[in-house]
Amino acid sequence: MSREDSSLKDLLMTVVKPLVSDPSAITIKQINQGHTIVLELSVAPEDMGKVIGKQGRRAQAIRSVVKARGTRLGKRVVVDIV
Amino acid sequence: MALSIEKSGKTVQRAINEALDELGLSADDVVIEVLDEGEIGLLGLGRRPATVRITVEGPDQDQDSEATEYYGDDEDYAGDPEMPEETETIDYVASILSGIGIHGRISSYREDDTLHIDVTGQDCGSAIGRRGETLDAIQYLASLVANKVSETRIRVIVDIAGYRRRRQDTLIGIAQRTAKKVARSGEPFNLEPMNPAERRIIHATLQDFPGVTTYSEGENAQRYVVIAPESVE
Repeated sequence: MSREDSSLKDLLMTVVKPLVSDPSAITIKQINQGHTIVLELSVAPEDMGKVIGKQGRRAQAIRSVVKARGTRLGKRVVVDIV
Repeated sequence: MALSIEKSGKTVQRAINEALDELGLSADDVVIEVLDEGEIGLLGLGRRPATVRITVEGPDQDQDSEATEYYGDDEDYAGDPEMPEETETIDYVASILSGIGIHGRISSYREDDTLHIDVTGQDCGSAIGRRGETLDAIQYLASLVANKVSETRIRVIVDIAGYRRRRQDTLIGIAQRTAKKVARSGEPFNLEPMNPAERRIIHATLQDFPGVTTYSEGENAQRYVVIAPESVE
């Protein structure tokens, strides 16, 4: 897959957008490291809690969903909230 | 004398509910024919309403059929609206599924404070995940969206390809087989770790099972049910 596949980024955006109060502040950076794809997600400071959740529960759910797409692409996906 | 009405709705279930409400009858009293299953479509594409025909038969329905003649005032349905958060939640689930790469069909219905979203389609495995982990994540996120603006709490249950129903059957089977073994051997048995909903199924199944008792042990994701012989003291 030489062409950059944006489907992981798109999915992460789809998942996160309705959860935050300031969707315009969402940025996602994709870093391809061979078999692994790292997605660096950042949101407005006041929205951090909304993507992390108590004991990281929201973050865990977001990762789960994005990983499902990764599985279909045959890639390992890491979502970092920065 | 038979009376039949046709009704369209966003989903088959919704059309049926609306028709039954209009007739003031329950599903047991009528014959339901699905004329068109409709299509919710993903991301609002290919949307087509579902249509059902409801037929009431039998002599004791005569008065009811009279009454339905006068029933046609749409304002009476104000209590059964399609809540905006309901549509948002369904669209959210649809866009997550299409983002994962699942092409299926979504149907939904409201039951008291619970919004059921059922997905059918082929090759859904990756949206379910190991032990339903991805499915639980989708359900959790959907319930966040559903409850974002709503003042009353909405429970959201998402099922994909009947996974939850099958899993429930499996869990009931495991509970009963293990309980029999425990009752016979007198040795407690630890089941594998399960989420709260799954543990609840085990506890409920064995609530009245003679000779055994159940409780949970362990922390968080590692919490599991113990089936133990009932202490005879």
